Amino acid sequence: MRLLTHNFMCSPRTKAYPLRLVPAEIEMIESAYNPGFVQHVLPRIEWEPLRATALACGLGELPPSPPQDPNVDEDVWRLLHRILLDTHVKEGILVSPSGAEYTIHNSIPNMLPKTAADAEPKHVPQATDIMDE
Amino acid sequence: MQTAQTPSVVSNPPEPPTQSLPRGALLVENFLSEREERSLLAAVAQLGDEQWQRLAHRRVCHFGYVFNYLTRTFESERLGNLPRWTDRVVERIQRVQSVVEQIKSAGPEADSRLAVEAAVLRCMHSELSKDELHCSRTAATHEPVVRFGGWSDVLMAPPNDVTELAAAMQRGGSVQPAFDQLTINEYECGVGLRAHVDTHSSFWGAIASVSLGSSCAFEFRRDAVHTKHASDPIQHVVFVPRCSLLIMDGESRYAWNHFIPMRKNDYGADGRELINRGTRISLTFRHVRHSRQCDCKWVAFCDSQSDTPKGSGGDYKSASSKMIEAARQKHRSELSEQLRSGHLRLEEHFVHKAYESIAPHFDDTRFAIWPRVRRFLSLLDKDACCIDIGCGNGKHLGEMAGHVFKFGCDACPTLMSITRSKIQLAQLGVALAENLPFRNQSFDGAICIAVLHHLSSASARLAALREMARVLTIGGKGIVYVWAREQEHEHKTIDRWIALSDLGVDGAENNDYLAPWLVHVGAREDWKARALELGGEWDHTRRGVKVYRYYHLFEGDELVSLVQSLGNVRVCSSFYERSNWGCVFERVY
Repeated sequence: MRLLTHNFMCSPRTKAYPLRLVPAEIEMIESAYNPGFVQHVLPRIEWEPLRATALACGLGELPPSPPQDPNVDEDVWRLLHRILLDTHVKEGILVSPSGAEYTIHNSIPNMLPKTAADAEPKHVPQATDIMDE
Repeated sequence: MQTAQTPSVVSNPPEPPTQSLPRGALLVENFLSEREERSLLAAVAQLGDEQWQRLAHRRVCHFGYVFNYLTRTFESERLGNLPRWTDRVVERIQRVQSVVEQIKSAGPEADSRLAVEAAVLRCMHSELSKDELHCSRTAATHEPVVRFGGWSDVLMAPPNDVTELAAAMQRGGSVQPAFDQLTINEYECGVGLRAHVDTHSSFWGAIASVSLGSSCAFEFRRDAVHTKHASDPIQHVVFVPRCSLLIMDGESRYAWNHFIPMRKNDYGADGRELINRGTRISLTFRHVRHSRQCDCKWVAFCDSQSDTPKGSGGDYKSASSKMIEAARQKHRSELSEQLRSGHLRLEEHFVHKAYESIAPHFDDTRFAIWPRVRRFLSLLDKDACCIDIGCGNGKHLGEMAGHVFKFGCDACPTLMSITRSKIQLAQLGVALAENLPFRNQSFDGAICIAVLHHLSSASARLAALREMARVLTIGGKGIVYVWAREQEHEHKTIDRWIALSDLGVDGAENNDYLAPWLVHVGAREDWKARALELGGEWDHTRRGVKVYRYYHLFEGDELVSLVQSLGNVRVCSSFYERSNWGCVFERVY
């Protein structure tokens, strides 16, 4: 599971965001540097959660705000490419703001909602929750 | 989860033959001279139309006893002798069998395979020289070639075969028991034969088949669980030329599935040259098992020793069809009871569990991609982020090879693992269509093929579409396909399905059905075992493990109305295509 995928993911039922990533096994698989694609998806990236996840995975520190021009800060763009596309979480856990856990096994997160009662207890929304709908 | 409509295998790429045979099988090339072939074909051409029986893909003609393809057994009534024009062929087959028997009775030596091949070759030379005396052949002489698979692991014939043999000898009095059943098969070019073991309870002893008019590839398969050693083969592919004889005996007859691939050409014996098929006529000679009871050692392949309804003498056909009908009624009333009591939940049992049970077999059959879906995917920019909702075995993700980022999700964890093993960098997740784990506006394109019809309420189907639109960007496009109530071949589909309304299930909507998936008898043993273990049932009539899947069939403008009711999308096109409704839409705000 790429970190780009992780950045897009939220709780299946409540849409709470972000899901905290607790990686157990990470694999780096290098792909051809593709600034065009990174530029295409950058507007839909949630920047702060990406920075936090990159730090937690030991991938280096991203600047406080997204870069603007691929021709200017090439190092940052290459780092972004590496973080978003080349970092694969093979095993780990995703934890929702309310504490519900989803396992990642064999690079596949299992996002089936647990039964309403046990997995995502009704909770007072916190500041970190983004209720989409 | 996708279930695109029956992608029939039009052409299987041929693979070079192994030119090996399972134990107990014998192939004699140029068993007949071309002159003999011509006269046999002429005799077959004389058969009247009324003597042929049309099956799905081929036609057949029975002598001796009629084989009933529905009950998979022979009819009790004897039709008379085999036609006289087959006498010489039968005699020659019997002489070949005698030669093999003689060597076998001398004790199986280490080099007995070669001994058998040499002895049969000698026998064939003397046979063909007799033919030459009858008529001085001008055509080039084709040398017989003999191939033997070796003796079976289990050398002794099943005890019941010995009894049948004794009875047959008493009736016939010859050295080799007379064949008493002949099936003539006519295969048009490209037609195959699906994998099967000839029912043990119907026929005993060797099965001998002569090919006329065209060659074909002949494959034997078995599952690794039925081998003694890891190195034992599980597949043999042999090129069966015209004028050849194939005898299946012992292990090859009782414990291997055999089939003819559906295709128009095969690699010849040398594995280099492709040989086109034409119309092939096969004459298959068998021994009817009058006791209808087999007691062989290959229990896993034996219908007498598995829990399928067994034959009894007398009016077998009506007895067995009554049994089948009774079993069907019982099954329906059980289903009805379990569904009404709430013991079985529709989606949980007939979608999620059903796909778990058929996952590997399902994966093996799903590869065709609808042209409209292919076009939809090809029009997406290579940088577009795509999601395949209900991606099944990942066939569409494979189609999106050029796209940088594509995500596939499905409710079936096993299908996700299978997809993962095939497409290494695929982004996958186990998720429900009505609960997508993605933020708003994450994707530029979304496909949802053959998924919505597995959701058992209108509100769930709408929720899934709403989720699909929610994760699309403004301007992002989606395509949906669902099964239509307007089926093109109702007799093959709806007529065979169980309408939920017939089961008296509360809240069942019109157009809600349970449709069977069949893990057919020739499928891998572990796939059948898996399906049985996870709730499938053995279907005696259709020969396989049957697993019901729930479907809500969409009728008329139902799909497009549902899409329009989302409010934030524009319908770009909607269409009906081969028993499916489809719709392409764009998120507008």
